Amino acid sequence: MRVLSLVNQKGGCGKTTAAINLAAALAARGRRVLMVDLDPQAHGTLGLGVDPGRGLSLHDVLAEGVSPRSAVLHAPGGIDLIPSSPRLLEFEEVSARMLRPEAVLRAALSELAGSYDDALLDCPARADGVLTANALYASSVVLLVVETGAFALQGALRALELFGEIGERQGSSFDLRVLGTLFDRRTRFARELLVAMQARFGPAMFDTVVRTSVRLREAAAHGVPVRILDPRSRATGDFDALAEEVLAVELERGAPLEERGAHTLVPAPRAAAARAPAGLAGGQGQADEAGEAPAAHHHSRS
Amino acid sequence: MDALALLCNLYGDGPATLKRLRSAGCDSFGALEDLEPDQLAPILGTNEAAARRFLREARLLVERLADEELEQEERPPLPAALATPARPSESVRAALGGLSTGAGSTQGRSAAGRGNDDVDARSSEVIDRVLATWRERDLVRAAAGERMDGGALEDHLGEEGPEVNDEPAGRAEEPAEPEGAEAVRTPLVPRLLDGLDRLQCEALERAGFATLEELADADALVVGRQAELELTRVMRLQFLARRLLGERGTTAAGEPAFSLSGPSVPSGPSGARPWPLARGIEPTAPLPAREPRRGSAGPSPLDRVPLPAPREPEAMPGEAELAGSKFSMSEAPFGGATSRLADELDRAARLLRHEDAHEAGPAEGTGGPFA
Repeated sequence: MRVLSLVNQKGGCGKTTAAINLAAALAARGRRVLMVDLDPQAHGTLGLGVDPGRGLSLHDVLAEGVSPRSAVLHAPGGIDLIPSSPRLLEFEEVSARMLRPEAVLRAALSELAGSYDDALLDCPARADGVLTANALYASSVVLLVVETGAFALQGALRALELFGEIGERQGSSFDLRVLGTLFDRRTRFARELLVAMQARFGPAMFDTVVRTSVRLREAAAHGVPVRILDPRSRATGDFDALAEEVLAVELERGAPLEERGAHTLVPAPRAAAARAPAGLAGGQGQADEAGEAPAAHHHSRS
Repeated sequence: MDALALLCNLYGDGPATLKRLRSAGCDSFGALEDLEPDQLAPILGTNEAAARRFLREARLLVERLADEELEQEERPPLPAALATPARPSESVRAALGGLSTGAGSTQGRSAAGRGNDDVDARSSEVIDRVLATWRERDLVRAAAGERMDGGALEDHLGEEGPEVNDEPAGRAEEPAEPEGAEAVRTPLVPRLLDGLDRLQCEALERAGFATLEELADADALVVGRQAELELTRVMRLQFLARRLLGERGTTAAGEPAFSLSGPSVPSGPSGARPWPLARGIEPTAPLPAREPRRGSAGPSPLDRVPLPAPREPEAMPGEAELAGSKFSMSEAPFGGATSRLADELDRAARLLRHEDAHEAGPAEGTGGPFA
């Protein structure tokens, strides 16, 4: 099972929206997808039409030791969900008494490794909390969600530093990718910012940029992914394209949760696909040792 | 994100456009440039004009990305058609003396342009002509000993001169061109106008508009179609060109006032008529009269049409009392009872007092609060 975390310490940049709709797009392609809502605000849970105050939640799994399988719910769009609840804030206090509090989620997800192909972790808007640390420790791919708006680039660079420090402190390994969201190409400012982001992040940035769409907000209000509300919307197309890119990343890197070790930097999916033979039959599950990405990646090891 | 994906996100339909291009075998800028607009249009699912714009934006983006710090593997290959035009020769660059003219700049050259120093005769001729104009203007200005500070401007404003009219003074004084003489034409070069870049200059030149005068006089629609530029952009360039041309011809030598080597605010020649105000802008209200400057020979050019005489109020109760009020404004501090402004202020004060008295009511007295 490959674990993807959607992170950014800046709130309102589209992490939850991207998590819900990317999960639905992957599920539409036949993947078995589990979404874990790590945000105590529980917007991911609400966005899939689930009441966060009812039933078992992630708090019970992390703090009470409840089996994660019993906390899984079936959500719209073919997504399985471990919901959040406001009680998840208590885990911050509980974790202080643990020996390795950042490893709790990884251990819990290991029980579900054989049941799912992808697990998407919707992280809170906080870089230094124990919940984000759990997500980073459990992840093989970290998606830094960057809104194409004011202070976006500076915030993203700072977030990269923070997540790199956390990763090195934990001794964990993950691939860092950048996803642009809330892009409004009608404004020159957004276009200029996107050019700057592309120049800064280079191959680490996905080709797909999620554009602003009212349908995304409507879908969240209805508690369904956007592809259910409007399958022909522009937002649906964006997430379909993003899902294709995410799958291409998997074909290159593909180290599942239980097999991850020392990480390597991954080149752009298309460039790697051009180098590797067609099909990549042996690529899944094996690390790409030859893929050294440029210095634009912060999280690197010599 | 590669450059083609960036282009599709900026000027296309994002992943849908990228998918269409890649399905058609177009996965780089080089492959994109090989397509004609009529070939690209069905790929993009749009019309030829949109395809042409897409190609133009691709060229601009390629240039821009080539100048930025990109990873080597991500730098898009620049095909021959997108290579930057010939650069000026060493002699021309030396003559420019470090001046940046956009296309001829020695800095910020793209990777494809490096090493290509050949210059065609036409570019060299244009550059030489511009340089000669600047040098001549600088010599004349230096000989005239003009001062470029604000004090000179104030002196000019205070001198006797005709009233300001709609037409700029320079135009009326322009000497008639002698027959057979070649009219002064300003070639279009990058940054001559705000927002005018090298690609636009080339497009305008290809369309037959190589000088500022030709651009200013042409029809915007014709220019836009022939040069394949957006109409709004053409209209803006024309506006700037006409404004620039309108500012000329006020120097004693009849030379254009615009100069890249001098200050942007001309001070005006000594002894000539003062610089006119902006064309077409009329004050909405006449300016108050000013006393003539000490030492000046006559009224200031700022003197406008005299203020119309106000209507006398029909009923001014208590006029005798108000006239004797200690708050009368007709004595000071405006230096004399004959001051027009003082009279107006006096009348305004009396009206206010009248209103106050009216609001207070007849039972409380007739003199108002200041009586």
